[in-house]
Amino acid sequence: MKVGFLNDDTMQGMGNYLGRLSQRQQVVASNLANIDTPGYRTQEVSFHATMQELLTDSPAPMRTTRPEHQAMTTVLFGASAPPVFEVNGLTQRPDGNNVDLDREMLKLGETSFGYSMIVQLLRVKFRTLASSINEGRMG
Amino acid sequence: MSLMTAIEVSASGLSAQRKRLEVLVSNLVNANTTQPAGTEPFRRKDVLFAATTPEASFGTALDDAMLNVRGVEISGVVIDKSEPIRRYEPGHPHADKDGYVLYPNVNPMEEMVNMLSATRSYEANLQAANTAKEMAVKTLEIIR
Repeated sequence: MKVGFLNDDTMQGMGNYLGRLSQRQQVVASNLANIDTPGYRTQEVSFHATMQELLTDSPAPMRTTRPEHQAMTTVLFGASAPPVFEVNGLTQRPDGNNVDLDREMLKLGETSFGYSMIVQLLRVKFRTLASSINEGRMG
Repeated sequence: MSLMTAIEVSASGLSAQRKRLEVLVSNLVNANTTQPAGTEPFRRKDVLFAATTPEASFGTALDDAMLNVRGVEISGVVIDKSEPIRRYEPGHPHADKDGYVLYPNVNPMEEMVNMLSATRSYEANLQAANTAKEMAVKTLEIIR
């Protein structure tokens, strides 16, 4: 776990998450562009796999000295290679294409919303820093 | 920057759907075009879509390859080989010796449905491009 203000775990996690969201935006754009391409299969960027990866491999576990102590695990997004996979269970058209317009529009909205959320959180983080620079006065 | 790739991919979709619409419109306007007897009548055309790999800068090439991001292009325009419609119009200047005129194999209803489909896909790509743009603008808000 890293401490410090500009390079702590939260900042890194949020940065990686923004990167992951922009990757998902690319994949959704790719799906939408190929909505009429015969044989094209819907792709998706996995968020879940990265979470699992980080949960099982905590970089700096806290020390537990008693059995009832629990190790603190920080669940953050890593910057590792994104697992892109083909989505199963979608209705396939006779030309072999399975892009669902509504599903992709939903993903588009989710991505945009997630991005706005993280940007807002980062702004709060920077405002806190600005506050301490200004000796407690918000500005 | 990866959002630029997203915009580029959406732009390829917009361009492909626009070309498709052009072909569909040409079918529709020629729905009643006849040719003198003995010559080949107008036949409806359709486009073929194919997935492409977007042009990437050196910095984003690896990322794009890992994500398997695909653009789209029109790989060709094909002619519909189905039979032209024969109508008995003996007074028509393009009628053959039996009085039949060959009309193009264009069904206006079918063309309208295809045009609707092209419009919807165009709108979806436009929406994706706008979202990518908004996300890029949002990034600037971090430092504001």
